[in-house]
Amino acid sequence: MVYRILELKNLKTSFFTKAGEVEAVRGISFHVDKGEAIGIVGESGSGKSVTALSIMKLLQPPGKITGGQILFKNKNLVEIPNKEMRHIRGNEMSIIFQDPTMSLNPVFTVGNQIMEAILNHQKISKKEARAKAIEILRLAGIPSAEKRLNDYPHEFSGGMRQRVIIGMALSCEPDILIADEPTTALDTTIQAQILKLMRDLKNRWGTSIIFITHDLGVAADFCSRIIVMYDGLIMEEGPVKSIFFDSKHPYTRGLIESIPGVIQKGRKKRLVSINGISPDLFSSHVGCPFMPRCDFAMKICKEKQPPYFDAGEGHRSKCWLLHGEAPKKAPWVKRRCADGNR
Amino acid sequence: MATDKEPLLKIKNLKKYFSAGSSFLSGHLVQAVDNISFTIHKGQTMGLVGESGCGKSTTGRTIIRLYEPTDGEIWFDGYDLTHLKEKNLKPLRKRMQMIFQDPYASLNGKMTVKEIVGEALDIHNLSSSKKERTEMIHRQLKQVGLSPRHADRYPHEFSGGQRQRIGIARALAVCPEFIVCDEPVSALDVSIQAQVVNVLVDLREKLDLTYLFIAHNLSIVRYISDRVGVMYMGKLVEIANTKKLYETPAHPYTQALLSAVPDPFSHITGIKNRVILNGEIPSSVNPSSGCRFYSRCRCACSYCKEEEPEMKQIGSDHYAACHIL
Repeated sequence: MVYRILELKNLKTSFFTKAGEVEAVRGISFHVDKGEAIGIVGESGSGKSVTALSIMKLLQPPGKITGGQILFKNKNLVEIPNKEMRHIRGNEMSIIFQDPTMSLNPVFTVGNQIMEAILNHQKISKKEARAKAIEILRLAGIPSAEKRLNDYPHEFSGGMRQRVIIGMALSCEPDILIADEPTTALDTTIQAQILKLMRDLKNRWGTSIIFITHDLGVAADFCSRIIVMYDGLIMEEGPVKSIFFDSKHPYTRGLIESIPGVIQKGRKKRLVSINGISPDLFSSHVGCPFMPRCDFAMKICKEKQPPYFDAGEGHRSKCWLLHGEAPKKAPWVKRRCADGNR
Repeated sequence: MATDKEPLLKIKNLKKYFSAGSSFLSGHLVQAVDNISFTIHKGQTMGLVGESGCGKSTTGRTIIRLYEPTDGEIWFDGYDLTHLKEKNLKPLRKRMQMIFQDPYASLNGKMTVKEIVGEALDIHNLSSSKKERTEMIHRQLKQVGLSPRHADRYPHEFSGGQRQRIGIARALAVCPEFIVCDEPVSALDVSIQAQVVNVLVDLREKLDLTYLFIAHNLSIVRYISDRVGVMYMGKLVEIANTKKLYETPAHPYTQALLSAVPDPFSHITGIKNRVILNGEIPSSVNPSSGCRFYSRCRCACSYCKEEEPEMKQIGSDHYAACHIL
């Protein structure tokens, strides 16, 4: 039996701005098993980061969780008091952010900050904490760790700072790590190093990881399951292979086809682009949010939000095209039906 | 593509150094671009890739003389514009334009789209009447997929992709032949990137444009370029036609850079022989002699530390600077 670490049930998060309520996350449900890495992909404004902040309960006003449950080890985080949450945060759950410069305090040494994280959550002496901090830096692949402990963040490069933060986040061996675009600010060769480090540490401690990114390549590389978000909703969810090779959603298809492959062989075709622009945050939420940009939109898409259709093996897709009575407009749907008849 | 003809743009031993630190007397020099040479033929798209700080943007900016080159030669269509005075440069500036990375910072927020696109027309006195000017602006907007009714709006009323289209329209307003595209899609969302890349490709065909396409996204560079140059710490380490560079990269850095890109399909189809580089990019302030990639190279020997490798030909239209070749 796989142990389910985290489960979101119909989570809703809104921002109450002067201009009105912005529903950033509009009822999403998913789960994370122990030792699993799942990827949340989507474009800016799709609600990926708000989901992460909601899980950590780090939302700042005017942001507020307006409904649903976040079950972490069978505890509902939405309801527990802040004091208890403080104990969980950093100890059982950690988060790392995109910009490693912003996440470290410039006026304290790196060692000081790692030790603070350890001492806050574990009952050990300062000396032991220091030894542990050195160990963490070493695991994070920082040379002459003992000496670097006394350095300030500005003396580290961007990639090294991100290593320090990953080390710090994993210092208390949390059950779950949320990585919000951890490599977006870094160069390609450094990104490869960081991904390797995260993979090694994940295997070492069996930490579950929620990896948030807009880069489908990184998500495919790192995760076993992928969630595609659009306008605060999960449009499609499934194992990496099904998402990339057998996607059932026009938006996911568009995203995949719009990346020119590095390794892809064959003739140069025109890039497939998704028409139009990302939805307006204040827009009314009738029908499918992707409808205005969808090549296959039907009448019902405008009127009613599609439910999730099951496509087998944990693959679900929120699109009316999968409905039994829908016209077989999209080529991939046709293919699926042909397979089904055989 | 006329490769037998004289190239449209020829860069020879181009150098651009910046003085670092508070005083130029301190003698610290950032060798942002050091001794690079390449040519671009008319109608060709040359891609320039590399990690941040490798000098690719500086190269682009120096070529159109936004920066004064420290040394070397820049030839554009038979004119040496390395040391041309501003006055003599102006007619050439009309023929070479630039598209910038950040569509939020590169458009003046206090000007309407009409003013932004029209400014270039005024500088070069390209329109004889007000009516003609408006017509020209509308034509440019249509060309990049915007509508003439957008002309009186301000940049903040547009999305990122639309702003980048405004930037392209502004560059095209003076009917240039050569455009430096400095990371034109990096700031955009994935689905929007494809739209802008398609606009650039369509315009290239329609207007017979020549691009220098600077980007760190290797897959987009592969898609759009005919030839690609790879830069590392101010040096050009490898230059070849796109197919060769991506399929048979010769320089250890190019190999590592290409294998570091997580490609969704390569991973799933099982190609996994990753080369992961150790260490970080060293500082380009007063770099040591020898090969600049020495500290991170898996093939490095003691010779690499002392002797700087020369660019040499290793195949037809394939050049690389490495001792092991």
